[in-house]
Amino acid sequence: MAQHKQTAHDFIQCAFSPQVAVLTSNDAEQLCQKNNLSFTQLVQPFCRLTTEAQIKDPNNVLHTLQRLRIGMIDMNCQVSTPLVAKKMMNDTVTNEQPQIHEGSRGNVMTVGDYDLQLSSATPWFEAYRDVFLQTIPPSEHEFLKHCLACIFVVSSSHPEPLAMLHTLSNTQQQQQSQFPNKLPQWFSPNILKYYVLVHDMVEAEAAKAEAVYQSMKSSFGHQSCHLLQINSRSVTAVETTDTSFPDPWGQFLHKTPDNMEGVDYDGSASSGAEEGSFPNKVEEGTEKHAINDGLNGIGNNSTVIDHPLALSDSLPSPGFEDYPSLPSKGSHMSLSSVQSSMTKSGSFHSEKGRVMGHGMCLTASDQDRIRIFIHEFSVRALIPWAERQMRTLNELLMSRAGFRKSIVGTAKKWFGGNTNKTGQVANTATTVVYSKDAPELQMRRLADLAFLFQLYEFAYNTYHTAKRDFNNDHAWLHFAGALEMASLSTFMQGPQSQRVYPDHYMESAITTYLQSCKNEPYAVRATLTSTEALTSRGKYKEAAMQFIKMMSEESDLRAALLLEQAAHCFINMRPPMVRKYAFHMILSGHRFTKSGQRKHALRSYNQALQIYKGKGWDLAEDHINFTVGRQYHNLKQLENATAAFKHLLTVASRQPAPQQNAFLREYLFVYRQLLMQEVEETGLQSNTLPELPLPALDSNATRVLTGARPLQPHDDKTYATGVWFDDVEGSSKNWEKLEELLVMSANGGSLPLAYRPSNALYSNSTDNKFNPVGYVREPITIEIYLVNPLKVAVTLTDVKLLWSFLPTIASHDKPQLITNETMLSAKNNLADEIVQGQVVKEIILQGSDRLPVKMTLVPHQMGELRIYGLTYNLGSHATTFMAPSQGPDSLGVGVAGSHKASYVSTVYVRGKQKIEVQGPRLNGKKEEMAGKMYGPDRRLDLSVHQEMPILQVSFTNFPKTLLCGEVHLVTVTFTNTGSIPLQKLKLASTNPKYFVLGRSEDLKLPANVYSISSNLKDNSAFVTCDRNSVKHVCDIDIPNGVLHQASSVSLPLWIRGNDIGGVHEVDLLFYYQASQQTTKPRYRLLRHSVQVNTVESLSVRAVAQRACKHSSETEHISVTDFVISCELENLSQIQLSRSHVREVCVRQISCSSQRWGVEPLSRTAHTDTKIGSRELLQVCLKSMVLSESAHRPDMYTFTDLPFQNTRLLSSATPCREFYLRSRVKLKSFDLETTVNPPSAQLGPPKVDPELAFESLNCAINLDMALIILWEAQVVDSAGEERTCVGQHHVIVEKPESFFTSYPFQILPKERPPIKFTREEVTSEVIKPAFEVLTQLVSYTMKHKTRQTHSFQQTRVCLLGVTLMLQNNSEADVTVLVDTSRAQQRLSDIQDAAGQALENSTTGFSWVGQTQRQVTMTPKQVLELSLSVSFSRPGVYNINNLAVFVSHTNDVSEMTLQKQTRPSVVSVLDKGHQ
Amino acid sequence: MAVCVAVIAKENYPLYIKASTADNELKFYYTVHSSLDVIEEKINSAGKNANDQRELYLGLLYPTEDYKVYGYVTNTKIKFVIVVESSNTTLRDTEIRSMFRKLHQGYVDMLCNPFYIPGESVSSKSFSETVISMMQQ
Repeated sequence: MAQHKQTAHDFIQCAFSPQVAVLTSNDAEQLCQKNNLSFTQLVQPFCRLTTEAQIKDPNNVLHTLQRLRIGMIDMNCQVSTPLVAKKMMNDTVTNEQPQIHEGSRGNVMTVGDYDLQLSSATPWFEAYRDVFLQTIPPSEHEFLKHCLACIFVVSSSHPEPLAMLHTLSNTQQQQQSQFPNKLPQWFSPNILKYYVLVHDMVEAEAAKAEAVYQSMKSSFGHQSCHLLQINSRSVTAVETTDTSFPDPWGQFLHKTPDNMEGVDYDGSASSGAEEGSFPNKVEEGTEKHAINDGLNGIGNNSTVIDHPLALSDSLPSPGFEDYPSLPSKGSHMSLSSVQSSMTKSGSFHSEKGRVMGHGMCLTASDQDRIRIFIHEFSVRALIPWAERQMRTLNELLMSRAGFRKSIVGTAKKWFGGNTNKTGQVANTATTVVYSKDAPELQMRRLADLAFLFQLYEFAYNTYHTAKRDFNNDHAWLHFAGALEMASLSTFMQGPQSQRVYPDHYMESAITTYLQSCKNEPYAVRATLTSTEALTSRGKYKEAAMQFIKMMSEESDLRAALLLEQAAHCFINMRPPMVRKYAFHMILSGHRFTKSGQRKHALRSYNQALQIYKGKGWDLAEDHINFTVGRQYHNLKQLENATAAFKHLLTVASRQPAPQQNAFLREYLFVYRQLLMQEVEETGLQSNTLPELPLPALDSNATRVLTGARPLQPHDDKTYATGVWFDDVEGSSKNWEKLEELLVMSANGGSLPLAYRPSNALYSNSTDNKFNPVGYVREPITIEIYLVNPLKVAVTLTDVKLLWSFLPTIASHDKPQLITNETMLSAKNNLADEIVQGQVVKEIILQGSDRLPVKMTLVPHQMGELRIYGLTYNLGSHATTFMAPSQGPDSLGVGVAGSHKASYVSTVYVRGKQKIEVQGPRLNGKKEEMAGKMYGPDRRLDLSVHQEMPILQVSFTNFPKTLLCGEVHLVTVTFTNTGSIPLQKLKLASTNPKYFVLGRSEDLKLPANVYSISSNLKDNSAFVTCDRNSVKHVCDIDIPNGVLHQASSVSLPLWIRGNDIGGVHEVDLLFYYQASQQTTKPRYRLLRHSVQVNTVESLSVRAVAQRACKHSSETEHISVTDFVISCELENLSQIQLSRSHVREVCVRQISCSSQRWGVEPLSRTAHTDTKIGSRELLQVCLKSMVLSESAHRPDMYTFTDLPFQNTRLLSSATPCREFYLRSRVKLKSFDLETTVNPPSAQLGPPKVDPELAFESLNCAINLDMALIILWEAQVVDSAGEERTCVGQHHVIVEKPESFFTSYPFQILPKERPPIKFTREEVTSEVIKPAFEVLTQLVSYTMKHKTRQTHSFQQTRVCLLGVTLMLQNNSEADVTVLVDTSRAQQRLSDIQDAAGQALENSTTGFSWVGQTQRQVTMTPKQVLELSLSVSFSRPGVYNINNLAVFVSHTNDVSEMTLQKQTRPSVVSVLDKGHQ
Repeated sequence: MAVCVAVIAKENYPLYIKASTADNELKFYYTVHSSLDVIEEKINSAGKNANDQRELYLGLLYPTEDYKVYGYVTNTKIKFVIVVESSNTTLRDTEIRSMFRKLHQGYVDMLCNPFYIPGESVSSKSFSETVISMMQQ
């Protein structure tokens, strides 16, 4: 319970004070009206005795009366009917509002982790309580409210005061006897009568008054007469004097609320109940109003105020869901009619519109006289009367007591009834009716009188006795009353009482009132007093329980107030029950709403919200916010309402979708109203748009793209892919490298100092330290991610980007910031001229959706463009309004066309939302690491530069699929679509091996890939090839070097399929500059990224073997010739209904080498060179040494070996270029840019073993490239056949080993373990490779292959053998030829061939000198004569001699040369032939 | 059985609330929230008698017209609240206790998930299943 002004003691005393009726004559009343007061009102402030009085109880014990208060009632006063009472209560509560500055008033209370702002006082409750107690209908079971006395008042100016007094007295008498039911009720038949003569000091004669007073005294007795002199100040004087003295009447008069018909109290609390019915509200309201007015008019007339239970609730309390719009409005209307009739009679309410103060004619001495009057009345008349009454009643009862005691006592013993148990008896049929002067009632009367005059101990005893009697009689109402009062008497005795406060009495009293008697007002009264008593003793919990018990359906206002008090009880508990407080505040708020007390409802909900806010109790919080929003809306506090509704939408809500939809609509509706209201108030729309909570923007995911959207391919044309949002983020490294290369090449091989890679797409992963650069008349596209946190769809219409623009104008005055946020149309037009913005008509954002929206801006002036927000109309998505057929189309972004109705029909609000991007988290400095600091992000602050040329690159016939090695011709067209000429066109690529860019002249040639010549004879060409020309960057020739506006250049572009099957990505980056020098940035770039799928076609394996020379064969195969055998395999597989290679036809094999050419082995022409799927073709060729004159480092000879009648010119473009590219070992793309590899500078300069022994290495260095030109029949998936051509390269580097066209993939080497110890650098002796050493000298034997010999003549056959040695190297070598078996001694390696040799030596042996040492000059051919002897006929391999070679003079360094082919000799016996 | 099961963090914000029907979820929000007062009261009163092992089960927190609210507090001050219908007379103290034990076990299992950050709202499926099984019995 909240803190109250009165203490519990005071409150109870005031609630139960002796009542005195007042009957005034008209003239006396008029006298008083001079003071703007009725008589009762006049005396009211002085009704409490300021001094102590004495009273004797029936036992003649003297008691002290403290601050006795007397209640004065005007007898003519119409007692409030239940309806009027209800209205009064409502009004009082409405009028008692908390002050607006709640913050200053409420004290902050910290409970646990809650900081609550509480207003501890609840004046509206006290006011309600007072009115309630006043208007509670009297009941027969108690006498507390019965008038003890009647004061008759006449004025001295009355012509017949005495007669008038008699008349008045008679009136009273008559009323008491004839209309016992009419109010006020009287305590007993012989009430105290008191006669007062009011004398106007100014107007009337004092003498006459005195005379009348004297005669009054003689006729009524001096004890019961009083002369009251008032109005010492004349009315005229009043107007002149200062009236600043305090007004003691103010607090007692009922304030007439002037504003009670105002907005804060009317019954139409329902306006928010039905969605969408807002526009109709007025008509509906009036309808109801009219009907109810009529109804209640009837109801009002017919209800006769008889019984309290016939109370107002002929109007049923409606259910929870629909607020009682109807009943409360109705009751209100009827009440006001009652009210108006009452004000006419002028008895209850003071007249309206009176601005005068009260008691103007009363001086201080007049007030003292009134005080004396009351004192006199109380002490001289009332108290003695009460003493007398009590004494007589007591005696009366005492005389009966003995008799009753015996009867009752024995009866109790006999029947042993448990009727003493209070309140539990469910006997609702209260049949006991006591007669007016039944002894039980007399008992009660006595007790009440004692209680009223503060004889609490006596009262308690009497109540206790009465209670027993009533219980025995099953008179439940009386019983409950006695219980209630007994308990209160104990309480009023205060702490000095011996008894404990019997709260169970009260408990059972309330229960009895409620259950057995159905007398709710009394139950409420008991609750009010009881809770007051309980809380004053700190029993908050019990008090709260009692409050909650009274939460009946009957009166919402009462329930609301009681619940609020209960809530206050919870918060006052130790420890405070905060959550219960909150919950009961919500319940209270709900009841306040139902009773139409909007402000109170709002206050309650706001109180509760403090506890629920931000603690994760989403559903509850949402509910409160929603209600609060509605209340604010009803109270026309639209701003607060909007804020409350906003809460519902910003948090990721757990509400179900329909609920969210309702929230959203409510919010939109209220917000729209607010905006309209603002427009009305200010007359203008505000310059800045309001910020909306929906949808959420994922600001940091915003991406900015400068430049136009790349064109989509059409027909056979594809356009450079450029940059678009779907680019893979990770590939930007490649682009940066390429750009670096381009800039380096454009800048003469070095990077400019302030170089930084340009970027077109800015996202949160790019470095946004610098402003993005846009160009005049080029679009800037922003991609924004809209996130819908709700489960329902929202509709955004007319979505626009908000920007501000600071133009850079070359003038002296400061440029003006232009923005497009203003709503004024004139300004907007200007803004549109500067920056043209795209307007997206409609975006439908589905529930829990995340949608990227792309919007473009085209600046038309140079300057600083800052994109800071998004503006749109926010509307709920009205699925109900849409035709069902539009369902699937409406998903995602849809430009409104077909279903325009979807946003027209819904309520929407125009607002904006800011895009705020956050830079990367800084982590450099210490403070940055410690705190959370973020770098700048300028991706939305663009600087718009002057116009630049725009390059457009298109490709015609760009294939998607290629065979491995296939060569395809594509025409590439460069067009300048900008308005400024461009120059310095360059191209860089990640993999330049696979395309060749021709010159524009080449386009005029026939569309064949390869040039064809029919001249078969001259099959070799001598061409310069610069290997260094193959680079990542190449310049593109444009005629005149400048590409003018709207002109274009077409160039041929050959592409060759990658040797490895699969998907390959090639990135091309075009570079160009404006023809005239521009400021930074100087150049522009265009990206093209292409994916080519290559399909396996041909695989070539080749091996070169030293030709073996036989004596019998022709001359021109020298020892230096090679036989090259090629294996060509068609790797493709035939796949039905998919594209595949049907067959591959080898057109030609060409050789490109500095030293070698190729020739066919045989002269017969082979035309059948078709290879089917998975077939293998073996081709053997002979290589021959070219003339020495061709030997220049960059000169290559191409020899062609056609298999058909025509020869393809392998030395022409593009064949030569592709060949060249295959030869070039481009440094790894990553390494090329690093100018100085760090490893080069460290350590001693290493001698490259390759270079050191070059003279030796050339012994095995073949360096011959075979170019296999082929033609393939490809069947594509459609079944159509086409011919494509291609080329494969095999580079035969050295003899005797296989080389393939298929590039070996170099597996990344594992890094060596990191060593922390310093390694001794052992200076290794660099030796040439073993492979080289064993092939320095090649040798063959020349001899007869067949020798006929007669072994009978000679036992031994001798054969001369010429050993031909050739020094392959370009160094002097020492050769040792060993024919003896001693070779094993020299050779450490006992190879298998040696073993075989040993076994076969039995048949033959070398004769003559076993070892010969010769020195050979470079490339020298030497012949040595040897002879061999055979001892018997047979077939011999005589190649068992060992040739050792040393390239130094050290003989021990000799190396055994590789065994060549066997030399077979057949020795025949002549005799046997 | 249970009509509402709630897990509430030490700082008194809900980690998990599940009502048997979605309609009256709001009601249970209020009920459970209000019951925290009683839980706090019970913890504080129990905390006074020194260091003996505190009983985790708090018993009946308060009865309302339609429901009975039971409470349980772990040693880490995680609160479990189970609301059962008053009309359900088959549920006795022992059953409620075992329900709480099951709930506690489920919570501990859920907490063992290394990807669960203590203090975040519970979204574990298996925990949900535990709770739902308690509601369906």
